[in-house]
Amino acid sequence: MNLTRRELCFKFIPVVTTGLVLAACGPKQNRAPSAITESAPVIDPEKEQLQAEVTLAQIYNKVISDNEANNSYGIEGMPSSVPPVSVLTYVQENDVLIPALVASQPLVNAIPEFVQANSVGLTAFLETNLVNFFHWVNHSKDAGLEVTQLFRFLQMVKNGIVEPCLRGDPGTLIFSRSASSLNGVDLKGVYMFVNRVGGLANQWVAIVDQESGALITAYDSSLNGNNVATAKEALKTISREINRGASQTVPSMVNQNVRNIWQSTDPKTFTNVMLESLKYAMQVKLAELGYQLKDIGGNLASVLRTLPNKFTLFAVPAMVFCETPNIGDIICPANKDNKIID
Amino acid sequence: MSEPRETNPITDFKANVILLGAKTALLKAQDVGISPQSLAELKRQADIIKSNERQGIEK
Repeated sequence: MNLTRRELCFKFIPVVTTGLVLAACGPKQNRAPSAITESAPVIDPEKEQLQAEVTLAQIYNKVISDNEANNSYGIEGMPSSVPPVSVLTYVQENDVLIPALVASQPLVNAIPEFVQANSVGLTAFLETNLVNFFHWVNHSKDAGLEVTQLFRFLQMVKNGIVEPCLRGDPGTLIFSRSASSLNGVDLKGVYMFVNRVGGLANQWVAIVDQESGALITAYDSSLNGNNVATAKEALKTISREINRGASQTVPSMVNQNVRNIWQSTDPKTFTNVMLESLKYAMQVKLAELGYQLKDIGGNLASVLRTLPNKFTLFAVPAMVFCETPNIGDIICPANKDNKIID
Repeated sequence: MSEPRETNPITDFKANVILLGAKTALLKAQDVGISPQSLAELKRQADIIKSNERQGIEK
């Protein structure tokens, strides 16, 4: 049997993926099983997790052998258009990329080996989808990083941009912009942290959601359209933001939640940034598919269960987002060595 | 190489799609910090613009 990536992914959708998608999209911080859904059948999380891992290990081994034989990944890109039809109608007629998470240690362990063993095709796939999933990884290379180095990029944003701004270091600025609408486009309420300590030709900015603290983007604002760093472009970035209604603020006026997240020295707490960024990224993807989270609410699980098997799944090893591993948590099971793939 | 014409990623979105391509226009728009729903709407607009362009070429 030739097992394509789509088939591989579809096999680990059931309980794990459904719960994880709900947990990642839902408004609650508590990711314990009881917070996922009240109507779901009672399951044994440990048993489910173990079964998922056994299945994944089997699938992984099968994929490795199949790919060695035919070097086929079954990879297809996301459709370029999303027609105004229901999600179910759409996925029945098209191959659709569904973002999802899989909290499986075998998968987390397997990815680096899989990338090494199949470097060309799978690396290209991961890079393409990471760029689509987290917008800010588009700017990783300007920081000298690969797109897969998520945590290193976030550390750079934390240590090199946001924290200096929150300390009020010389050469830093903070702008605040309330949620607004521009030409019918809804702009989020954001902070723009600016660090020009390295000069106007090396002015990095980080755009952070005012409420959640999620990183929306971070980039070198000195780079112009030709990717050349200039002081003129750096100044334009500031003037554009002011024209959109932003005003300068001071560290003490920044939302306490944002300060807590970005100034935390506890690496476990810092994973909140990834979690909040993940929620934003997932909302974008779901919106692209015609979803409105507010409309589907608790019905997302049932929608996912009815999806046909003709669709593509993007799996993210969710273990890296775990703040507090717990044996009763299917996202972050205890007694596992969390591993960051970069 | 001359610098591309400066365009606003939101107010000149349509022009950006035509001048810079849909992907670049969407990336620039995301750097402003827009809502997920608006981003989806911009993507739909970009698809329509590119589709119209293709049809124009084919005709």
